Amino acid sequence: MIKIYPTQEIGSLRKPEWLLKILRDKRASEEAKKAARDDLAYLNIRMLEDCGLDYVYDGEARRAEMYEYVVKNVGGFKLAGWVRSWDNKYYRKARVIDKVTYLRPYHLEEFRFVAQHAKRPIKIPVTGPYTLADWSYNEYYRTKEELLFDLAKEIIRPLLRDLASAGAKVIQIDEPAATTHPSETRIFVEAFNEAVAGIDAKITVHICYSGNQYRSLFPEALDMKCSQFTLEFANRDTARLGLDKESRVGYQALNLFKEYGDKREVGVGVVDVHVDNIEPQELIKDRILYAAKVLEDPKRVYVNPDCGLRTRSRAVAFTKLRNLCLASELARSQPMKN
Amino acid sequence: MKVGCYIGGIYPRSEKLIEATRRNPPNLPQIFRRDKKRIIDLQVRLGLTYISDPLLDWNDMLRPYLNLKGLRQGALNRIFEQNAFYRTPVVVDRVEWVKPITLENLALDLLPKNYLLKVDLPDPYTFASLSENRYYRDQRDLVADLAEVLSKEAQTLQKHFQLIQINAPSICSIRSTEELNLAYEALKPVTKGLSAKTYLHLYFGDPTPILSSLISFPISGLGLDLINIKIPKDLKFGKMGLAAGCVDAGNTKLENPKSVSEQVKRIAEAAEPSELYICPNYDLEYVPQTYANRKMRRLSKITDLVKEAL
Repeated sequence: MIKIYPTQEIGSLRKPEWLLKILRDKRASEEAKKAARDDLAYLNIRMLEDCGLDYVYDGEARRAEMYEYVVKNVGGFKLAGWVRSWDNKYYRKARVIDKVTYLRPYHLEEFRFVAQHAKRPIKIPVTGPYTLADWSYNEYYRTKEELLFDLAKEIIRPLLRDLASAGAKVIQIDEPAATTHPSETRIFVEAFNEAVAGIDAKITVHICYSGNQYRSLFPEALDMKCSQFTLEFANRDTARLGLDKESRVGYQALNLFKEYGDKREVGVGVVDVHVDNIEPQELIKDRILYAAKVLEDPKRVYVNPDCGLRTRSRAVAFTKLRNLCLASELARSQPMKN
Repeated sequence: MKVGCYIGGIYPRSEKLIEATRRNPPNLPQIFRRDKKRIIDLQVRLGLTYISDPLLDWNDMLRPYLNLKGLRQGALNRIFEQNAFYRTPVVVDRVEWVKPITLENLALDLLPKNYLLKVDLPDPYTFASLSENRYYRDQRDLVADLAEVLSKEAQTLQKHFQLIQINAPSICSIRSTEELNLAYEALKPVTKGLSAKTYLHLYFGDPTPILSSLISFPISGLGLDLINIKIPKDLKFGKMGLAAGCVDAGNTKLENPKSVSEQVKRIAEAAEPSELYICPNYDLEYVPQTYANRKMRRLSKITDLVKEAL
C-alpha cells in the first residue's frame, strides 16, 4: 500500500561548535577533520531517522554551504568574499574568472557514506546550475546564459551521472534562485533539463522564498523534467487552524498547479525554518490536509520543512522535524474531504 | 557643468564585522561605529562630494521604519531580483509619525564637520509597494499617509544634510498614468520647501518608458542605473540634475575609468542635465567590502576624468 504524506528533509542542519572548532584548528590533521565530519554525518542521519522522516540525508555535514562548497570544487571560480542574504546572514560569493570545469564528483564520497549508514531511503540535495550562475559574479563569460549552460552540461550533468551510477535513486536539485528573474524562467528550465538529461533517478526540484509566489515559474515549469516541486510555504502562512483559504493564505500558490493542470508531486513546506517557534502538530496537519485538498490527491503531497534548518539550533530543528512527522501521521488518519 | 560624486544606500560590512555579528560581543555597537568611521573616512579621503553614513547597522532599507506607529515586522521577502531579502512591513493600523526615525538610526556625530552630507530616505510609493497592507481599504490612502510620515522625516533631515537620496525602485515598473500620478503626488509633500537637494534614485527595473514624465517630478535630480538602461537620445534634463549610476554594484568586475568617463561624458552632453553626479547604480552592499572599496576608488577616479573632460 502506498504511504500517503511521506516526510522528507530539505538539506542542511546547523554545524555544531565542536565540529567548527576542529575545522578551524590549524593544528588539526586532515584525518581528524574527516573523522569529525564523519561523526557529524552519522549523527545527523540517526537524528533524521529518529525524527521519523521517510527520506533522509546527512544534514550536509561536509558542505560549508550549498553554494560555497560547490564553487570550491569546480574549476573556473574564485571566492570573492561575504555578501549579505538577510540581516546577519551572509554567504561567500564567487567570481567566475575562467571556463568552468568538472574537477571531481564532489558529492560522491558523502553519498557513499550516507548510503552505507542510512536505514531509510536517501534523497541527496545538489545545487542546481541556475542558482550557481545567478549567485556568482560573471567576469568571464560573454553572457549569463553561456555560463548557465556550461554549468548545466559540464558540471551538474556529470555529477548527477556519477551519483546515479553510485546508486542515487532520488536527487533533489536545489534552485532557490529560480524565481529571482522572471524574464529568465525559460533559460532556467532549459538549463535544468540539460542538467538532468539521461539521468536514471527520480529528480525533484527545491525552490524557496520566491518573491512572486512561484507565479513566474509557469507555464515554463510544465516542461521541466522533474517529478516533484519541493517548495516553501509556511513562512507566509497564518498560525490559525483551519482548512479555509484565509487561514491557509500562505498556500495559495498551490492553485498554480491546478490552474496549469500540473499533476506532479509537491513537497509542501509546513514548518518555518527562520523562527524558533514550534508549530503545533494540529497546525501542521491542517497545512498538509489543505495541500491535499487543493491538489485533489493526497498521493501527490510530500511533507517537508520550508527549507534547510541550518539557521536553527539542533533542539529546535529536531522538534520541528519530529512534529512534522507526527502531524503527517495525524493527517494520514483523517478521512479525505473535498 | 558642475560634476561631483557620492555613494548611496547600505555599504557592505567588513569580514571582521560580519564575524563580530556572529559572536555578538558586548561591544558590538562600538565595532559598528569603528567600521562606520573607517568608511566615512574613506569617502572623505577619496574626495566624494557628499559624505554619508554607510548604514552598516541597517538590516535593510526599510527596517528602521518598522518602528513607525501602525507597522509590524512581516515575512522575509526578496529584494526585487536580488539574492537578498528584507522584512516586509505589515500595515496593521493607520501609519503615523511619532518621532524622527532616520536621524535616530544614523551616526551623525561620526560624519565630518564642514563637508556636504547626504542621507537616504525611501520613496512613499515604493515603501507602500513593498509593504503588506492589511489595514487600508485603498492603497492610495496608505501611500498618502506614508508621504506624510516621510515628509516629517525629510524636514528633520534637512537641518543636517544637503542632499537627500530618495530610493524609488518600485517607480521603475510604473506604466499607468494613474500610478505615476500617485507616485508624483506622494513625493510632493516629501520634497516641498526643503533646503536640501533631493535626488530620486531608480534602479532594479527599467524606468525608460516613463523617463520623460519623471523629468517633471518635484525633485532636484534623477539617479539612474546606467549599467542596465540607456537614456533615450532625445531626452533633455533641463533644470534636472543627473546622478549617473555607472559603477556596477552588481558585479565585482572593476570599471575601466577611462572608458566609463568617456561614456558618461557622452551621456551628459546628450542629456544636458543641470549638474552631474557619478554614483554606483545602487547600494554597494551587493559586492564584498574589499570590492566596494575598490569600486569607490574607481568612482573617484572616473569623477576626476569626467571633470577634466567637461
